[in-house]
Amino acid sequence: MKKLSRIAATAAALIFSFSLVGLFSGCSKSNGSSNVLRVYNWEDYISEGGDGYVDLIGKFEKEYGVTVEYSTFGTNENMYNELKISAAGYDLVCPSDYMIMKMIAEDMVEPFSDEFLASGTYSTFVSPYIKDLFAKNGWTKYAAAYMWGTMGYVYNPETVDKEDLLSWSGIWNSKYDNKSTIKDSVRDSYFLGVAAVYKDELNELKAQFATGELTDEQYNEKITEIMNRTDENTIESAKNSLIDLKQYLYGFEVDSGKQDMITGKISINFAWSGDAVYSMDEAEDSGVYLNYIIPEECSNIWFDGWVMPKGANTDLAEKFINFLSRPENAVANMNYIGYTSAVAGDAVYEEMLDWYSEGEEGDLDENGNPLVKHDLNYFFKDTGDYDDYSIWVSEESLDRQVAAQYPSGDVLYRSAVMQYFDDKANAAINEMWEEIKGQPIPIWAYIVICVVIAAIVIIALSFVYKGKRSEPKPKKGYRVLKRGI
Amino acid sequence: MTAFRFSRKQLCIPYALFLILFVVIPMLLILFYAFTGEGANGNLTFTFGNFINFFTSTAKLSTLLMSFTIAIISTALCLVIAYPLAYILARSHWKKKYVLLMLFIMPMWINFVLRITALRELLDLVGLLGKENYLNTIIGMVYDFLPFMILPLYTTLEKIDNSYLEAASDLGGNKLTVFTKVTFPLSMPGVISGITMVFMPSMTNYVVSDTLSNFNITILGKLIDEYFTTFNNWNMGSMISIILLVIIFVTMLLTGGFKDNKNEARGANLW
Amino acid sequence: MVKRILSIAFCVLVLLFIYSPILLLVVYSFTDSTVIGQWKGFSFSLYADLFKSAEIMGILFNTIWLALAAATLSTILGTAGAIGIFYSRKRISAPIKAASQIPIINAEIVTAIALALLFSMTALYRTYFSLIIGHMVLCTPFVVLSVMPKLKQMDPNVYEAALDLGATPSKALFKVVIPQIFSGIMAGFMLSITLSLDDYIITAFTKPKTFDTISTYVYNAVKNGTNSSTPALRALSALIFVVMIAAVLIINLRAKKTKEDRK
Repeated sequence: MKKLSRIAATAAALIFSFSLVGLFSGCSKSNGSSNVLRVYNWEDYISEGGDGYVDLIGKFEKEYGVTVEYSTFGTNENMYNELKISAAGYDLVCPSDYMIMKMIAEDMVEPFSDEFLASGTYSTFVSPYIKDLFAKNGWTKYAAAYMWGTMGYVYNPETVDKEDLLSWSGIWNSKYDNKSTIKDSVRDSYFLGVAAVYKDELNELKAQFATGELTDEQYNEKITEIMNRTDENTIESAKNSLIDLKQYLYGFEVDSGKQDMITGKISINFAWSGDAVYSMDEAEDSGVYLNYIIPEECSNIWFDGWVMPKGANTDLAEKFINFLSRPENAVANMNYIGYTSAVAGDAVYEEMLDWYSEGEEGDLDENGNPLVKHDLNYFFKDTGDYDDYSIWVSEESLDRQVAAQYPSGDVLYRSAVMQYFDDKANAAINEMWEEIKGQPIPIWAYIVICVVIAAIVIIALSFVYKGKRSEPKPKKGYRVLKRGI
Repeated sequence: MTAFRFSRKQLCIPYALFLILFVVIPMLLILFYAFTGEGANGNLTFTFGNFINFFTSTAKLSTLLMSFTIAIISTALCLVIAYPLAYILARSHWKKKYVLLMLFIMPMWINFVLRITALRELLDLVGLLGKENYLNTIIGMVYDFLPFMILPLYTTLEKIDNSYLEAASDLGGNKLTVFTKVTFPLSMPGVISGITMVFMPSMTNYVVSDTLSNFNITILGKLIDEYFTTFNNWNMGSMISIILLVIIFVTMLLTGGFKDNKNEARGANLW
Repeated sequence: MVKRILSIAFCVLVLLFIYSPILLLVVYSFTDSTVIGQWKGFSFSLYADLFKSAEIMGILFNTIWLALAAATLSTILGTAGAIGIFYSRKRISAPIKAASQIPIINAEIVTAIALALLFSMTALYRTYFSLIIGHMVLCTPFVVLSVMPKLKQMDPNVYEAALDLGATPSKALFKVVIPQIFSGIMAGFMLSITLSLDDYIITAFTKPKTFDTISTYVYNAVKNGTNSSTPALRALSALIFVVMIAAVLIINLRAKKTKEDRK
C-alpha cells in the first residue's frame, strides 16, 4: 500500500512539474513582446513580393520597426480549432463570415478601439457597401473586412451553354458528365445542394421581386433564410441531391479546380469569384477564354475579415489592418491574389479603370455594339473624389473578370450571407458531408468483403475439419508421444 | 557489486518516464476523450454516445468498410507481388543478390510524400488521376508499402534450410507439394509480419489516399484527422482511434503478430 | 530456362513499377516546363530556381536538423533504455518493453493525435519541444529494438572482468559495453534519421505553426494545387532521390563488404 501511494505521489509530482514547465514557457511566450505581431491568415492571401509584387509584410515590418510572425491555415474550421487550443497564440486572424459570427457569439474576439472605428485608414476607405453590411449585422466593432466576393460557376463557353448555368442545378446534367467539379468544403457544397433543393421557391421569390411584390430588403432576407436552413428535411434532401450530383462530377476539389479549368480537364467549376478571376486571367495567357456566371436563383456573398482574438496585441493589430487598408496596398494585394479587396478609394478605382475600361459612354466595342455601363457606385461612392464610379465595357465583358470582381448591384439583392450554425446543426451537416463523400460504395467493395468473409469461414472450417481428420490413429500397440505443432 | 548493478538498471528510468509521459498518458487521454462528452448542462460526463454514434452512422460505417476493402486489396496485392519476388531472390544462387534486394527495398529510405507525389505525376501523365480514385489509392498503397512486405518475406525465405526442401522432394513430394507443405508453412512468419506491416498503414495513411484521389476518398485515418482538425470533435476522433486500435489488436491477435517480437518487417533491420 | 526468363522478367517489371515515377521526376527536372509531359528542352533552370529559393532551402535545412536532433536524442535515450531494460528484472522490464511496443504497433495518426491532445493541455502545443518529442516517440522504440539483440549477443563476463580489473561501473559501461553494442547503436541512429525524414503525420500535428519540413511543405503544395506552380520542387525531389539512392547503396554495400571480409 505504501509503495502504491509512493508511486502515485511520484506520478502526480511528474505531471505537476510537466505542466509547470508548460505553464512557464507558456507565460514567457503568450505575453509576447509588443514588437511582435502574430498574424494567422489563409494560405496565399497576402502579397508576398517577388516578380515585381510588393512584399507587404516586409514593408510593414520596416515602416513600423516590428516583427511579423506570419502563419497560414487552410480552412475556417482548422483555424478555429487551432485558436481554441492556443487562444493566446495570435494577434490577428482572418476567418470568413460565418466563422466571424461564431467567434463573436462565443466571445472570442477583442473589440476595436474607438479611434480605429472613427478615423482609422480602414474606416476611411472601406467600401460603403461593406460598411453597411457589417453595420446591419452588428460586426463593425469586431471585424474589419479584408476580401469579399460571390460564388458562381466558371465555365468554358466553347463547350458549355450559358443557358444551362442560369440555374445552379445546371450541372445535374449528363451533358456535362465528368466535366465539372465542386468544392471539397462542407459549407460551400451544402449551399449548392440547398440551392438545388429550393430551386422552385427561389424562382418564385425572384418573380415576386420582379413584379415589385417584395422590396429588395425583403427579397434578400427571404433568400438568406432559405439558404441557411438546417432542418432535417433540408439536410436530407440536400444530401440526396448532392449524392445524385456525384455521378456527373469529375470530383471534389480543394484548390486544383483552377488549374484543371486552365488546362481544359474540366469545363465547369463551382468557384469563388476570386479564384474565377485567377482562372480567367491564367487561361487567357494560353489563349482560352473562360466565363463566370452567377446563377439567377441566388448567390452567396462572402467576405473574409480580420478579427483580434482575446488577449491580442490590439494596438499593433489595428496598425496592420490600417496598413493593409491603404488603397495602394489594397491594389498590391488584389494584383497578387486576384481577389477583390473590401477597400475602395480612388487608387483602387483607377486600377480597375486601367484593367477593364474599354472606353467612354457612347463608344463602340470591336463588334460595333455600344458599350454598356457597369455601375460600381454602390461600392466606391464617397471613398474618393469621383462623382460617378462606373466602368464602360462591352456586353461580353460582363461575363468575365470585371463582373467577377465587382458584381452588378442587382446580384447583391439575391446574395445571401452564410450564417453560423449551432453545434447540433453543424454535426448534422458534417455527418451529411461524410455520407456524400463515402457514397455510393462501389459494388466490387461488397464483393471483396464477401470473398474475404468466405475465405475466413473456409479457413476456419478447414481447421475444424483437419483437426478431426489429421489426428492419426495410432496403430495397435503404439502410442502417440507428441503431436505436431 | 550491488551498487553498480543498481546503476545499470537505473539507466532505464529516463526511458520509462519518457514512455509514461509521452506514450501511456496520451493513450489514456484518448481513452478518456472517447468515453466522455458534454452533458446536458455543459459538464463533462461519461458516455457511450460516441460509440453508439459510430456504429449507427452510415457515413462512418461505410468509411470503415471502404478502408477495410482498400487495405485488404492492397495487402493482397503486396503479397502477390512480393512473395514470388522474395522467393526468386532468396532461392537464386547469384552472389550479388544482395544488391538486387537493396534495389527493391530502396524506397524505404526515401521520403514517402515525395515518392507519392512522383507517383501522382505519373498517374496524371497516363490519365488515371482524377478518374480512378480507388484504383489510384490502391496503387499508391502498394507502391508505398511493397518494401515492407518484401523484406520480411525475403528474410524468412532465405533462412529456410535447403535440406528440408531436399528431404521433402526425396520423400517423393513434387514441386507443388514441397512448396505448399514445406516452403510456404516455413515462410509463414514472414507472411504474417508482412501483412501486419502493410494492412494497418493502408487503412490509415491518408497522405496516400488524399494525394492520389484528389481528396475524394476518406479512409479511417483521414476521418480521425478530420474530427480533430475540421469538425472540432475530439471525443468522436478519439472514439474512432480506439476502434482502430481494437482492429489493430484483433488483427495482431489473429495473425499471431504479437509473437513476432523481432519486428523485422518494421524496418528494424533496415540498416 | 523459361522459368529463369520469367523470373527475370518479373523482377524487371516490379523494378519498373518502383522506379518509373522516380525516373519520370528526375527526367523532367531537367526541363523548364510547369507541367510534366511537356518537354521544353534540356535546362538546369529548375535547379537554379531551387538553390535560389530561400524558402525551400530553409525547409531543407529544417528537415535535416530536426532529423539529426531527434535521432541523436532518441539514440541516447533508447540506448540507455535498452541497457537498463536488459539488466532489470522481468517484473520491471516487461511493462517497459510492452509500452515501448505501443508506438511501433500503433497507427501513426493515433500517436499523433494522442500527443496533440497531451500538448494542447499545456502551453507547449506546437513548439519545437512538442515536435522533437513527437519524433522521439516515433524513433526511440526502434533504437531499443536495434540495441537489444547486440546486448543479448554480448559476453556478460567482459563487463565483470573490467570491474574486477578496477574499472568504475561508468567507465566499464563506456569502455566495454558501449563499444560492443556500437553497431546496434549506429543502426538505431540511422534508422531514426530515416524515420524522422520520412514522417509526415506526427510532424503535422506537433510542428510549430511557422515551421515546415519537406513532407509538410510538399503535401500542402499538393493540397493547395501549387505543386505544379512550383516546379522547383521537382528538382528538389529528383535531387533527394539520387542522393538517397547513392548514399544507401554505398553505405550498405560497404557494410556488407566489411562483413564478408570479416568472414
